[in-house]
Amino acid sequence: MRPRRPRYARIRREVLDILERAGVTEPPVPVEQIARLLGARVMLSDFNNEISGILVRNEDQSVIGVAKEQSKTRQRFTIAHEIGHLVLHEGESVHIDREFRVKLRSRQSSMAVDVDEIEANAFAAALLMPETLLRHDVRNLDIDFDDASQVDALAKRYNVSGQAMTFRLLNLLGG
Amino acid sequence: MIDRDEFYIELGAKLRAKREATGLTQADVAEVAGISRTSLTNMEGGRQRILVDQLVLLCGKLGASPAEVIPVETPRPKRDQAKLADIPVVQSFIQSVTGGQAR
Repeated sequence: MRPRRPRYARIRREVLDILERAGVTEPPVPVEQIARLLGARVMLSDFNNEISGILVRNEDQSVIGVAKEQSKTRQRFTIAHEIGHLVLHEGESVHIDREFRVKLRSRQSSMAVDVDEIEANAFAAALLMPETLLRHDVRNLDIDFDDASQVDALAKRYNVSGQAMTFRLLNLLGG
Repeated sequence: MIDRDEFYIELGAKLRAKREATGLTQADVAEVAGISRTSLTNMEGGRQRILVDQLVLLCGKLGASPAEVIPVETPRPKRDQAKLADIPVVQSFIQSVTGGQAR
């Protein structure tokens, strides 16, 4: 049975373990190298803007397909998101992601599937913007979310989009 | 496969919607099924399972048929994935990396 709630503690553990195995001590996180470490090959492919990413599990080697028309930061997020599915969601031989949108919960939507996507997104954010590294970077900063230059500088340092960094900072520091 | 937690959450939500549409209180409805108001609260929240005879009694009071509130298996997510996999560029990608053996 699929979990009904996102397993944030498990995600944190998995990410910490992976970062340690990959020897990551500073940003940006080498996401392709981590994919390889976990037995997945990353392939850029032209998907005609139809999908953003795909995970194909093979017995010998899994393949993460990434839409090459996406921006570099978006590609990194897609790869990290697919690694999340690889690590957290066993069983599906092929998983396709159209786009990473925050979905509002509707009664029609299947919650189990939404939870998978929420988990993969949380995994991607935690992997690309490791909590300890980010906390260290912002320890002397008074983050002002209205001042884009601070967030942009951090986004650049971690090679993620400004939006991804904003969400991550709000998650870690806000409230 | 039906996820049991989701099943009862959806069933409970539908019962609640029916009850609210009738304007009945939880106490009114709980009484006919011989359950406490707290139990009904939990049932509506999907935290407590409902016996079939209780469901029939609840539905009777709500003027609804059990068939209207029992969730059926929704193949929607699978269909989404299958539909995406049928997009030509996606299909050829999957074939190229699996030798056509996946799915």
